[in-house]
Amino acid sequence: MSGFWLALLLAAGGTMALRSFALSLKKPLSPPPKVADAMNYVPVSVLAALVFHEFFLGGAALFPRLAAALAALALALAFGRDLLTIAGGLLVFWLLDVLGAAPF
Amino acid sequence: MPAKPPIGGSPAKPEKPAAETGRKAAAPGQPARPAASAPAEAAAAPAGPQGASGPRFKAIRSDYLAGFAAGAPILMGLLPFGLIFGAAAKNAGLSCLQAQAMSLGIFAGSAQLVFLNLWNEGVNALALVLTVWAVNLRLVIYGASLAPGLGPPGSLASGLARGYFLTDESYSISMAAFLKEGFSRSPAWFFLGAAGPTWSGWQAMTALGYAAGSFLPETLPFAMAIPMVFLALLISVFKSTSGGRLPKALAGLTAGAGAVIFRGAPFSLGLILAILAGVAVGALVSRAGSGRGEGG
Repeated sequence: MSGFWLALLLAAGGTMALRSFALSLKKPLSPPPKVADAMNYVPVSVLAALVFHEFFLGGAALFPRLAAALAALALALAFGRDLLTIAGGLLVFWLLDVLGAAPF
Repeated sequence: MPAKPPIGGSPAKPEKPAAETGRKAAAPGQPARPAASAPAEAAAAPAGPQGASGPRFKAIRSDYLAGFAAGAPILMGLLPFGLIFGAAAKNAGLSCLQAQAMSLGIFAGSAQLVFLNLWNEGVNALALVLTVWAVNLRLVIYGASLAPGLGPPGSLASGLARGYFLTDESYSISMAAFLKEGFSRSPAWFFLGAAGPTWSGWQAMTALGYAAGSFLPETLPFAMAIPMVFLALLISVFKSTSGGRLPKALAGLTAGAGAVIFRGAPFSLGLILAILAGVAVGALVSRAGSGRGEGG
């Protein structure tokens, strides 16, 4: 089995276990309050780590990526529309990339 | 997208109030529980001796279709993300079978994009799998929150079936319905119906995006599409999920800084360390804030 399929099997199996755990119990699950509170910060931590990792450590020049990220952030805060955020950020990145505007 | 933004996004409005449907209303703030006389295992049980025309079958069909109708509008925002995933998978060099297997097996959009991104970067498989699990940890909470409304499963297979279809969308739609009105017959079928449009739309868009990926110009910045999706997801999560804004902001900043600082960690575990640091900071700040609130 190739590495891809093994990783996919583990990722899918683990996801299935996480999803089904509480729904398969005969009695409803009540996680301890501290655990439940800590879980609130998992999504934001995961996504922030990925965003910083991608925008600061990605392969291309830093300037177009950061400029695109800032443009997307401004659009997200102003309009709160996901598709507009993504399209606007990509457009800024594409324009800067095409124009070769990469001072750093 | 199954884990589509917003994570824990705004719930859909149930189609009719309890008074109109004749269903039992739930206590405010509590998910409605199935009535004592109701079949507890709707998801696994057959239609019953009355057959496909019996009243029980009609009730199941009615609740499934009500869930499906409640879930359909979410497709509008979901489909583009499926297209992005399919096209990005093609761009990353995955086969059509691999891309579709991800959508069928993981069925969680943000987790799939994380998998794809980390795989493409050649990240250690252990770190990749752990990160995917971390992205999906919230589903445990969703399940715990939804279980009282669905009632106990009749079998392990039924619990697994429910779990497979547990997404941000099916959760928020079903919780909104269970909080507002009771389902005296088959809440599990409403839940499965709510997941129907998400599942079918996600699978179809994966295939379509993969096919379209062959025709897209190479100058399009596809490498940036996934980071942009992550950024949009991050803002949605920040705005919509539970937890205080200050703890969430500090958790995010800590995790983000950690991702940069720990980039050279052994076994590519930098992201995991960063996530753990972010969660710890968020929880600590939240507890400190609660303590001050109680004290004051």
